[in-house]
Amino acid sequence: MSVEVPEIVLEVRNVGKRYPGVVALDGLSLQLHAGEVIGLLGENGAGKSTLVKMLSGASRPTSGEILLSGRRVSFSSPTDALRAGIATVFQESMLVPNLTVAANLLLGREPIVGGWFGPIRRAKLRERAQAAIDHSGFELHPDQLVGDLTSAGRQLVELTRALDLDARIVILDEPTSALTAEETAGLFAAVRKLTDAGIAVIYITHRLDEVSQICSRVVVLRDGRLAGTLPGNAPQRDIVQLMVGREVTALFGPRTPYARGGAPLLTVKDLKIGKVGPVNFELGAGEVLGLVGLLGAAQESIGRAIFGASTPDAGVIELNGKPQALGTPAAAAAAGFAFLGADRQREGVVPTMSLRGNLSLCSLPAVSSGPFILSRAEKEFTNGLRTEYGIRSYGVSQPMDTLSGGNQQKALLARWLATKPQVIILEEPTHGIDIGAKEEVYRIIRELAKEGKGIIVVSSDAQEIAGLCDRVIGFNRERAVGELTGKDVTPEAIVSLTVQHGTAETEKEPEAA
Amino acid sequence: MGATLLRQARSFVLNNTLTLFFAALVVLVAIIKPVFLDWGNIQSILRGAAVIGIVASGMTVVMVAGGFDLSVARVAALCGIVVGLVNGHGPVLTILAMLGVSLAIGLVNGTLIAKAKVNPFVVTLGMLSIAQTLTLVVSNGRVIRNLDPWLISVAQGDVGPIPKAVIAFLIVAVVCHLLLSRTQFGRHVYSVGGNLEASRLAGIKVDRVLICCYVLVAVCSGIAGLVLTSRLSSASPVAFPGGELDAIAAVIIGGTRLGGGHGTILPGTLVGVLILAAMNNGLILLGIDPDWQGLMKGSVIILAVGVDILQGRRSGRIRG
Repeated sequence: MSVEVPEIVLEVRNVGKRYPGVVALDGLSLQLHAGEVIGLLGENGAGKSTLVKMLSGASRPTSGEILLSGRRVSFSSPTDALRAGIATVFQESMLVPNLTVAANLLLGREPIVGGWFGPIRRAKLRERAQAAIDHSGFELHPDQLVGDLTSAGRQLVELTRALDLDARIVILDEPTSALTAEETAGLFAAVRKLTDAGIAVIYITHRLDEVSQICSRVVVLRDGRLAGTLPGNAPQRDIVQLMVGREVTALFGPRTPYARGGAPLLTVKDLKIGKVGPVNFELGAGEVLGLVGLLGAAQESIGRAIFGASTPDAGVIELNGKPQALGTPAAAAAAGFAFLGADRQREGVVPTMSLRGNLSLCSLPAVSSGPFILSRAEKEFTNGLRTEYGIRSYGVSQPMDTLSGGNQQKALLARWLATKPQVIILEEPTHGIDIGAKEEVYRIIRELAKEGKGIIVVSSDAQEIAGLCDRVIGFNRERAVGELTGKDVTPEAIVSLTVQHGTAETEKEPEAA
Repeated sequence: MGATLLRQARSFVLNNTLTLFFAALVVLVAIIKPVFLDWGNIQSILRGAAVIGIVASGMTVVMVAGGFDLSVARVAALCGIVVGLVNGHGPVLTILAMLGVSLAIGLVNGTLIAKAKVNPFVVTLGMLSIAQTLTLVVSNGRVIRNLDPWLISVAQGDVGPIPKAVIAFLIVAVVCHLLLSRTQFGRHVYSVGGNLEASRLAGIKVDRVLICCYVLVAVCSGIAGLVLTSRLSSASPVAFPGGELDAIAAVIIGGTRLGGGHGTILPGTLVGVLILAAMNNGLILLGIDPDWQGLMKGSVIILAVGVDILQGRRSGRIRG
């Protein structure tokens, strides 16, 4: 029986997904066999979530095709995908917390007397739920409220539902990011039960040590393409190599090594945000500092706390040696800080206004006389910014929401740089923008450094950090775990810094708790 | 060049659907009943539009900022009663009292919405009820007559051919329009209504912007209360029934989007107010039972929002 080649349950053929200005997936092909677990890896923006969205019916490919057991499929909704046998367990639970386990297991499939408005047959519901739980072999109680379960418990509910729906393919999207080491072991056992039943599993993770434990193959994506496939037991070094890519691109331009001199521009002392911290670091004038870590780790809250986007619990922030009374974005902006959030649509773009309104938003006093905005001055000012930063539009009157991602990002940078800030905090500055715009954003950042600004880059793109930063601080969930400077700032070193400490953290956790 | 012209023409039609609708309405009624366009009739249309227009001007600012205010009509009635009670002490004190009451109410509304982050629907619905009760308590439930002549002369009579109440409306509309379209405050209002979080992160004092909006609409309501009291020569605790809905309807018909970020007072809300007033007048001229008027008003509101949604879908499609 071991010589039998398992059936190909899923085939992705030359699939692409384009958004305006962004190629999220570019001709990806892969096959999945019954009963295997493949690890899907790649940096943020590599195309993993785009692929998952298409397989789970949340979006459709713009080119290529998806075949299930050799049959071409096209999903117009998540229900379609589920019916076809693809169940997806997302990072954020899709269960209804105020219903019981039983009700969640049979959500939308409740045994009903009569039609849709008919009463639910509770005893039957519970009975069927219990049968599903027995079949899965997981430790669950049908009457427990899902809201009272741990993340691990909720995942078991979702897996039970997938089994009960006769799913042939289960997608797990970073299932262990909220689990303890013990719970992770439990999840792996559950995954093995699935594969024993012939179910194929796509396992998405950032934790490389998990790959060798559970995956038979590793599929690595990069820039929307297949970077390569490796056996599950391949050395982590090889996987990292594939993730970051080999080409040391000309994208970042020539760099002069940063030489520290004089007093620091920015000093962060004992900064605490919730559980995070205390964080201490200095930033010199003309220095580009990278903050890296896994998703959900401390680096994400630090830039925000400095800018006052979220209120820090304690700490001192000094600019040019003078302590700043910050805590709100308005105060930080007035003091000479600028901040570009990772979520461009939510935190940057004002979609209802034109490019002009977006560009001048932080500089209105400069184009006003008293309370009144001088229309001509504003037009000149924003036209100047548009040319200076190479924002492609039919004019400054073009609605902001019709600009491509790259041009929006350049506009947001221009909005801030027009205020002549001293410290610029950039989160994922090139997330989801095309390569041309990326190059221009990098050029702008280099020029800012040359002008003597202090720049903090928070990014999950190791190559970007390596290409831009003079110094890198790595974080785990709560505190700094390592620092790289000068020549040591390489993509490989950055990935190992975050990954190793990220996993060390999960192993430590049960003791800490 | 040609493409630009076409784009401008298309966006003109899309952005001015209601102005075009208004023009069609006027032409239609005027053909059937030529008396519709007599100056006397136009004056009466305008007079009917004045009080709602004053409230709607302030309401537009709040709605562009992404909020709205249900308490306006009751605040107007409360201020009307206050004006009726103190007008014997002369215009200065009367206006100060009216401003004091409306400012205080606006501050409470704005602070609860901006700082405590209570939903505007909840806050202003509560304020509607509170203002209504205050009005009844202060007035003992009675209509106040015997107003001083100065108060009556504020909004009754004409300046040249134009009714004074209409002039009051135009002044309020122009001031609100300038605030919204020409000042830094106004730009911040559009920005907050378009994307509150992005505005906050751009260093805009979002709380202050929102509080100012609610104070502005409350003061507009206070002015409306004064004008109404003057026009009717009496202050009634139940004056301006349903005024909040008429004002919101006028703003929506005028093209302001419910989600915030879009909208104008001139021409938008002005057209909305005129459509409502002209429609009421036209229906009466056409001899249609007044009981049926609500049907037309409702249909126009739904039509206006329907157009709004169609436009929204359009831009959604471009975004992909």
